[in-house]
Amino acid sequence: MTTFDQARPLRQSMSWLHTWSGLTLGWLLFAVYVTGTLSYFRNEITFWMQPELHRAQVVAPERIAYDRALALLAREAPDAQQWTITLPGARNPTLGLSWQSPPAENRQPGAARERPANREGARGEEGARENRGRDRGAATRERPGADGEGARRENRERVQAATRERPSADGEESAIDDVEPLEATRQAEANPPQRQAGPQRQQQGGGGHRGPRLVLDPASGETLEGRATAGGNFLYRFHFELYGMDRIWGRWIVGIATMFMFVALVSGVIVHRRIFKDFFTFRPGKGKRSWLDGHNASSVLSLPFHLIITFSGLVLFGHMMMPTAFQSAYQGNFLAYREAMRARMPQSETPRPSGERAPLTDLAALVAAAQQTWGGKPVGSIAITLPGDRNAVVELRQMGFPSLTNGRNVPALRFNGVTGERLATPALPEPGAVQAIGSALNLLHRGFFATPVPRWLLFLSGVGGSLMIASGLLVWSVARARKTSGAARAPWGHRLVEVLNIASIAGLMVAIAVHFWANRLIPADWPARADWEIRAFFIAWAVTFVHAIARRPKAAWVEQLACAGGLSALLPLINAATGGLALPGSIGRGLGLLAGFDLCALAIGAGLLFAAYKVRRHAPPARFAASGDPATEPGAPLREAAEEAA
Amino acid sequence: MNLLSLALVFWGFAAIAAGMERHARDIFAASPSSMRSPRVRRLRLLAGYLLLALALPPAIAAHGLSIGVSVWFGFLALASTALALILSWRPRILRRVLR
Repeated sequence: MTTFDQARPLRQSMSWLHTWSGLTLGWLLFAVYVTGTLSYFRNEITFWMQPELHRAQVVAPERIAYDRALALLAREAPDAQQWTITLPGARNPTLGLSWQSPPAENRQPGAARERPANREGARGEEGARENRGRDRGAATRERPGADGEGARRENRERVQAATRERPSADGEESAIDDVEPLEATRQAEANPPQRQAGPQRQQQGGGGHRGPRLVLDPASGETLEGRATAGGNFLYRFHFELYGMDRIWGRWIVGIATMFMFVALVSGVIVHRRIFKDFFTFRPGKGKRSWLDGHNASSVLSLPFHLIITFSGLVLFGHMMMPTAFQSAYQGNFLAYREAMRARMPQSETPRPSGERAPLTDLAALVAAAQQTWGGKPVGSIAITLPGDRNAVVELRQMGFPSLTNGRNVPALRFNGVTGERLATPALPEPGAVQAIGSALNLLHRGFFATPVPRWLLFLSGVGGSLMIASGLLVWSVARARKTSGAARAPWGHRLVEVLNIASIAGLMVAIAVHFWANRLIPADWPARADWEIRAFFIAWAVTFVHAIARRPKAAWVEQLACAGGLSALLPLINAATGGLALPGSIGRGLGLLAGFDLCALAIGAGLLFAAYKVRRHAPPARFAASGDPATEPGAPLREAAEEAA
Repeated sequence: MNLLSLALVFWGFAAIAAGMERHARDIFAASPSSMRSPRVRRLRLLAGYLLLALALPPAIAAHGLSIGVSVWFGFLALASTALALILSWRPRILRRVLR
């Protein structure tokens, strides 16, 4: 190895940079890429992880049991300022009910403390550990007494916690706030933005849609109670703030890794000599050559994705990692900065209560009218302000984001809540150039689209990126294994890389599969079960490290790949066996999100098993066979298999 | 519209690959050598880039400008990966889509 300060041609020094920036944080980046890729489907994953909700029937929007939903809202929240009904869509077949809570004096003592609405606000007194708990489900925090009221409330907490992330525009909206600096929430509480100016809304802390939540079967209107689980949010949060440490630390570590990723990408493009000539080139079965081809192909063919996802990841961390600009321009006022970065919807007039009661207009008719106005685009949510009052206003929002450049603004229609007459609706604002670019980077990174095609493309590109990192790590090992194959024993550094490769590539797959198994094997009413699902993930991952150290490399690869493959491929079975809707049922009933999860698990499992089979059958080339390390080439099969799985 | 765009992208990349010397050799191994002449290859390259460009409007029609362009990039990645795999194992099946 050459030393750092030696004079070298550009390409050679870039090669040095590429190798070492890629290797040092490659294992972490692989985990970030894999969990981030899965996060494109975190709503689907969360739904899979709550088999209690699988009973929900798929119905056309005009046949949803609005009456039952409204009756339930009237019973649970008669005094609410606003009711919100989240309609079922392709990414979640259930009906969600939430409301802006009445003033605190009407509530039972202690309720405010437990309310997920205060999830960010709780940070100060409860400390970092407790705050991570908010995503694992409020049920894991404090268990109210066993009396009837307590149990009832607890149940509701579980449902709320479990279904906090919804696929609708509203759900996405609350998700957007997740990555923003933590101090923002404190500021939001100190001076709430315009939209939440009402006295009731201040009770909600920073967010607008974090009140209590119920989940219904849209056809029957029957309440569904999902088990406590972090769902897809565990993988999602892990991919940008890791776990088990202060969130700021986690974000800094991932942020630094992202910078390394960017460096590796740019230097990789410079190093690659024949980027166009070798554009389609993949030569299988040729050892290191194949690994390098695979690494190049998976990098180059989705290069726009890799660059955008890495750069936008940095931009999302921007105010944390490069705070100077926003500190000086906005005096550290994050809310002012955020307001400036967003093209805000013009404020609609807030209706004033008349004090007279009046029945609500027919919601199904409004939904039909809105869909017609939008050329068939589905309605995402219905917000009813001043329900039951003669001045009630109903606002219907379109599902998903129709454009990348307009932030979280969604077309909406407003109706008189009693007569059903159409009211003036403010037009979508025109974003400025900076707002548009910021919004595009943000939404692209998160894959907030109304339709599935772009999300699947991001997912597949993410799989490609995971393969790029994995193959890059293996190229390092394979290249050096050749050089040192004459030695009796691999140097300890090579052995370390080997072990880390096994446990962080194959081992991560095992851990993810175990996480899903734990979701089904831990009883639904187990205390702190959401925590145990996550512990199962880390315990399994730790075991794969020990296993990788204990076993010879080839055996470790084979066993871990086979284990991960078997566990993944059996997920559809365990889903059916533990109360979930089985694959034939989910296909038959049109629950594409459930069928998609099971089929992906099957495909990934089959791919991993195939990889295990190929590694097992792999015989090192004759000239290396005599010496030492049998895992010289854990095999092009891993790549092929994973590609097949994709 | 999605399928049309994806098909055009794939077709375009296939034509570009067939315009590159090495891949032309693989694809048209059993064909008369006129299929591999530099002039034919240059035409294929041109047609290929044209097809890639033609795939953009349908994607925009399906998704709107901003998302449509992103989807087009996604299709580029998907189609080129598929093509690279085909070229590695079964290059000759591409003869059917290329003339």
